Amino acid sequence: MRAARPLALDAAPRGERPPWYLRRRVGERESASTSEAVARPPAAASAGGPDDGARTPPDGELAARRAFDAMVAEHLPALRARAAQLCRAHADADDVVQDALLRAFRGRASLRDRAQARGWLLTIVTNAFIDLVRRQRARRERADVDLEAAPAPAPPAPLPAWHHVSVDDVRAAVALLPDDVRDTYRMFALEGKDYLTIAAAQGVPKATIGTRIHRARARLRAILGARLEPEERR
Amino acid sequence: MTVHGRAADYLDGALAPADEAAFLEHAAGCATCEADLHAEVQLRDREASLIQSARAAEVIPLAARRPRRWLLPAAGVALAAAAAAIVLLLARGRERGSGAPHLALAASRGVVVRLAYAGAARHRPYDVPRGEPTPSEHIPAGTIAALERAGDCHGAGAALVLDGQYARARRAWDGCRATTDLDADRAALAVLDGRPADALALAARALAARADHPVALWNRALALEALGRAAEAADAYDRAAAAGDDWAAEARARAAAARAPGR
Repeated sequence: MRAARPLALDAAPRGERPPWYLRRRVGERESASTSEAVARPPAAASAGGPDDGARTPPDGELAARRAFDAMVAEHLPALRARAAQLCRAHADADDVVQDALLRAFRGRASLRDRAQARGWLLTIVTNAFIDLVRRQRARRERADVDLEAAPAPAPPAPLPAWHHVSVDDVRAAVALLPDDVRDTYRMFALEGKDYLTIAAAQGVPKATIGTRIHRARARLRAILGARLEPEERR
Repeated sequence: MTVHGRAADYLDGALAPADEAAFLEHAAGCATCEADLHAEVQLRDREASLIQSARAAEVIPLAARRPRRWLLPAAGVALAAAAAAIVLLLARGRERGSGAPHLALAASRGVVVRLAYAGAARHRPYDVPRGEPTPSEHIPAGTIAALERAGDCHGAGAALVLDGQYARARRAWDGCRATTDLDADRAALAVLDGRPADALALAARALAARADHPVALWNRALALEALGRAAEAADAYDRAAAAGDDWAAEARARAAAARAPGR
């Protein structure tokens, strides 16, 4: 079994030590990520052990770490919950979140609006998960090929910049939903009602509510996605 | 069965295990499905924020607003009656010998985990509506506040877990005196929070104190499942079932599911 991280991650005093997602665990290699933002470190750094980030950083970097850490702390529960939803039993959500936060820290300059931090971090979590699935697939396909020597996959296509979509954008888009799903989705998302309450109010089975919400989401994806420009992946 | 275009179903857990694996295999090479996965994750995040604000808006005015002078005295009477009812419920909970205030819970549970806290320990069938953003059931803010006021930090945290407020639950439990039951419940929170490794460590601590702790075994099994260690999970469910309590039937069913081929 892999060594567990400290239990009170969010409460641990950080001092001058780098936050946990910038450290590596014992016996862990740098992940073979496809992201340019996670370029393989020089050999000397790789050999530095699990805590190579603990070397004294310059003041500017320390301040950047602290600011980034505060941002991460705010959104960590949401990131973990989504990572767990993405991973199910197919991958370790903790590893996905750590990989994502490391990428995010290295690519932090590309976050221009702090108000979009959560969506920006979620994009990176999703990318980290998909990259992990790709690596697992490649490992299966080329089980007898030296992975370290294998060529990196082609850079993936740009994706719509979903972090630009705010809660208010979603609220506004609800009005554009087709009649047959709008009221159901409004009760669900804007009034916070659970499926059973909505089903009782609308006189339909609970399963119908699930189907309507599913269709509403598909429509919202189309409405909101159509306004977004593709953006380079992180 | 085609798995193309099933990103939402994947996130809902609506695909069979074999189809889940097939979907991921497909999505790793399909730009459309990858984009759908991104869109669904983001949409559900905003949706969860909307739901959270809607539910908060439902309860905050009652707690924050002072009664206006021209409100009917009946409102005061109703509030007093409600307060008395809460006190009565708290007292009745204690009289039952549970030592814990009473949590009025739904007939089915919205979280897959099991809690040791006495007010939330009884078995209820697991039933999560398809596509709910955060598995939870609604616990009135007043109940949570009553538990906090009563100094029952374990209970307040348990209520917050059931209500889907994981960060607040963690904070409530951070200030609690450590007990074996609390470790078992913190393992539950770690499972829900997507921290299976932490859940395993917490469950192990509880099991070191009491090797047959059924709640710790249950949450350990869930953490093992999240880590893809299905065989060990099945064993943990079996050991939880050995307690012979009202959770045993579901534990046996989960053990059988974990052993089912194709996982």
